[in-house]
Amino acid sequence: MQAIIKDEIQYSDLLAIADSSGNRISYKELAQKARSELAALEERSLIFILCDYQMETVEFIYEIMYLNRVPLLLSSDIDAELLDVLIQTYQPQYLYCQKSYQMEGRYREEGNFEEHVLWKTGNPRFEIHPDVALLLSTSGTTGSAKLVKLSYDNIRSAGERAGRHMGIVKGQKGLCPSPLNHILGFIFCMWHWSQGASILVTEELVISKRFQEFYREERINNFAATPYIFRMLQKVRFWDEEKVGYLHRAVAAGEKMPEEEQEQLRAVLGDKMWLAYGQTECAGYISDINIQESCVKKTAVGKALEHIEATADIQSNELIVKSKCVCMGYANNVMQLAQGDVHQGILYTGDMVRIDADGCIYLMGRLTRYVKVLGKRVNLDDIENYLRRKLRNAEFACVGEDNRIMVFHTCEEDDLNQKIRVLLDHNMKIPPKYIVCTYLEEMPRSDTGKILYRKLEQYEGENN
Amino acid sequence: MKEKIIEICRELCCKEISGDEELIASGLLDSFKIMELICSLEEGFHIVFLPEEIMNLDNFETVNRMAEIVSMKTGDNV
Repeated sequence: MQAIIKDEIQYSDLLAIADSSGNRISYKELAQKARSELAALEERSLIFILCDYQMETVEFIYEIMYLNRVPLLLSSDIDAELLDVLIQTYQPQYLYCQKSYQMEGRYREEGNFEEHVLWKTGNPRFEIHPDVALLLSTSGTTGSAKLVKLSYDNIRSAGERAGRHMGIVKGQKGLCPSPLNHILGFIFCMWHWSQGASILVTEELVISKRFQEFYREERINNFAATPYIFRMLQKVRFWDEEKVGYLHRAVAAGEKMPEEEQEQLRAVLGDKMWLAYGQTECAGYISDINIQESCVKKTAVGKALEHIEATADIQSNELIVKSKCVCMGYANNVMQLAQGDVHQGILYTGDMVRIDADGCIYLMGRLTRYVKVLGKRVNLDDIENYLRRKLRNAEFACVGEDNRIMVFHTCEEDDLNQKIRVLLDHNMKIPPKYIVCTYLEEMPRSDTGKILYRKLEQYEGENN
Repeated sequence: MKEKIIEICRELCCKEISGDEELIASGLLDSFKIMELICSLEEGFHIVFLPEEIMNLDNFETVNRMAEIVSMKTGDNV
């Protein structure tokens, strides 16, 4: 049996998870609960989990990983069509979701919890490689059926080493409002669980009074979120003396934080505030920089953590990472779940960087076609494919930068721009504000028929 | 003023919105969109909400409630 955390912690009375309704559970109770309630689930079965941020869900994820069943973490508001594609592609044995999902008649109920149901699909079990511990989508709610395979070793190593690096210790409490199906939300739990610290959970909106009260009452020590969440918190002047007093470490990750916001947080949180850079394929954290230092080394994403070797490719400047945290590889179909480690601890990140004499990494651009929207990775090819599937009467091509996606199309239909925004907002969770739609009479193409994205980027520049 | 707020909400929610429709309780506005809404109202009406006004999310639950607080801050009629 592969353990995700050390025995001395997993059978201890230390608090593992607590929520804003007063529920609390220790590590020992989690292990007991897993054995008594979930041990009958098929060995090495694949379980789709539609993640909300309720304690029951966080517990469930912990328990099935403790039992070595394999979760695929997905958003609870995933597009129904994408969920169907994933179910058809990976044939899970179970599906865990909120009770409001209508699955009666389709699947058999296997477990009934307070707010959730575990459905048994009846799919036969396919082989999953014994090292695979967790599956995450490469693009959150927004994308294709491509999955990242993380091993027990990846998760243990990333959790323990980053947890130690951050000085997380037993008894501390951490809260991260990022979704669990994103690497930051998940690995934040591992940072804490690996050290015997606790995860605090609430569904309250971060700008609400109730969130503030909960945060204050629980005396949260560690907090991680995307820069956008930090911006929201600044708006309500969240960081007062009391909260900062209990704070051990705050981490912003997922996208670049604007200079002005760094300046504000520097003044409020001082050296308790860190900016981090990471990727799902590396189980989260690759490098970090204290906000006091980021004013000197502007645009830097910090030094690689001790257990990570970071170099820039001599020709392309692509950041290459060598570490035990590097994922096993990807899966595009159920057969690839059985494959072992193809990356062998080496990840070509797709990010172009410069590394200075101190080992500090500076991001210079991307080699791959994805952008970040509010800290979430969005694959531009996925958007094109999605729009082609949904709106068959037009051609689509996307270019963009972080927090700005340009969708070009060739359909004169009056309300198509609005249709595109609605589709991307409702089904891919990209707010309309970040989408610019442009009609073109003809898509620019090369002699061989390939879309000329460079030319589209020029249009984008002209439209600005 | 109310028409302008409806327009902002329609743009954010990608659907037609009525004056007393619940936007937060119904899930139409999540925390990201609430923030976008607040920024749009501040820009659109040249006002700045106080932290207490933002934390009281009832102020942004319906277009009518928003019109009330915006009107209070600008001194204009709804």
